[in-house]
Amino acid sequence: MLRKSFVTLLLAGLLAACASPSYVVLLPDLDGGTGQVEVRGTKGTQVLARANEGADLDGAKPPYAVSEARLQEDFGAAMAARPEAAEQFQLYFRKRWLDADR
Amino acid sequence: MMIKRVAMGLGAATVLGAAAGMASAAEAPAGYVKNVTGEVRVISAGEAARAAVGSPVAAGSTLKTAANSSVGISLRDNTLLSLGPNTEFTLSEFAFDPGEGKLSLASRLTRGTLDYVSGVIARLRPEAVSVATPSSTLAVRGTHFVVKVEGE
Repeated sequence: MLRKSFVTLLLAGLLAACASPSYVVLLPDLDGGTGQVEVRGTKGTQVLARANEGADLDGAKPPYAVSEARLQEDFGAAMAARPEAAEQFQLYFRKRWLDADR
Repeated sequence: MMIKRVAMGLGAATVLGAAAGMASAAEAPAGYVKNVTGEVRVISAGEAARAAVGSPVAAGSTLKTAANSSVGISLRDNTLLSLGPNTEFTLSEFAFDPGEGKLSLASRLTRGTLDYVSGVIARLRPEAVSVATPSSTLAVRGTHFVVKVEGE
């Protein structure tokens, strides 16, 4: 009986330790740079500025490093569904041709 | 002199035409579904529909993925959003009309996982881009990140 409850407790403890909290992880941009995310949580504000740096969503704890294994486990499916980035062109028009016949 | 006036009239007509084009662009959907795995629903104006490749995603829509399901969405400003299984995500607000200075992109992750690659709106006006979660607001400054919200 005692042994059974001990096992149950142990299991509950393990489960609690495994359950990862709600969190956000900054990743490298598709073009190689890294941006920034500010987490304004109910328990504090954290700023992520380095790739693979994560923070709990409540903002309570300072940022921490997130392993590739954990990223794959939690976000593998979402990351695999990311659409291809479209080619982007920014066009800048000179105003001068409009003024040319003045 | 006369010719010049005609030319100016034509110029004005062209500008009006461009403005009309922009107005219709503002009514276009915010984005489209690019890929679907498993069972994904788009709830728009209270109506739920099964998502398929090419389904439009309008501002105000909610997307829900079932277990073992995922979806990829591309928005008009080139923001890339993808959702993992058991996820609920709402595109609360979307405006992309740089000519009119209308730029905003607000969303909410209620539960599940989200991969977010920001697009042109975040580059032009970072303060107009945010992702809300049950315990926080994420301010996005031109970037790629992933978020997980644990269900109760």
